[in-house]
Amino acid sequence: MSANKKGNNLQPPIVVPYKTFPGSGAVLWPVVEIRIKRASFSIPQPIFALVDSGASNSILHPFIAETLGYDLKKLGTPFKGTGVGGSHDVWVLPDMVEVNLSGYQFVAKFEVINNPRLLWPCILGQDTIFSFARIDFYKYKNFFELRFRSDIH
Amino acid sequence: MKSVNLRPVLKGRKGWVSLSKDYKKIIAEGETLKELIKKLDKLGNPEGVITNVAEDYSTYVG
Repeated sequence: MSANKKGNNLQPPIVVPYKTFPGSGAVLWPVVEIRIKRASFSIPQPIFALVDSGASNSILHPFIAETLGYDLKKLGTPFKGTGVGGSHDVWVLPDMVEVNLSGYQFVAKFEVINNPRLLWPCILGQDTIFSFARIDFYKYKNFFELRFRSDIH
Repeated sequence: MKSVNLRPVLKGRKGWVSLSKDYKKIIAEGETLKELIKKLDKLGNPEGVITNVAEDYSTYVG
């Protein structure tokens, strides 16, 4: 399929400015707000989620998973996950979590890293946001754009 | 477009915080997410956005 044809199957862009955080100087982080829920459990406000093209899987902070009703101790033996940040125990959540980003909804299977010091409430990687939307980074202009696929929205 | 500078509002904070929608002020904060959610509940769950705060984001490798 040509690039043009692909482009026609996308929703209008959501434009998000990059954010800067303490201690990282002028580093610009691609962070979005998402609402997240699972069955009767939800977080009362949206949470920040890092859009990380280098993450093959999407990750929830263990505190977020617990608030969504998961008892991590009952999820069985975690596997050892290895990334550039080191190695951690990882659980794969047994069911789908609902995500809403600016009105666009998708469900995703998240992993939870057993590291309460994880810097982000959520990391959206290749298996979620990059599968559901085209993302164009314009770092030199201080923003990035997400265009959700029309065929699933 | 200007980037959003969260350094002033988050500087010196740690744990979990709820930021106002315009990111200008802290609505509530807690050492844990559970504690923060209890505080938000007492405030009537105002609009905002939740994040955890690290003292230094430069340590993130990903």
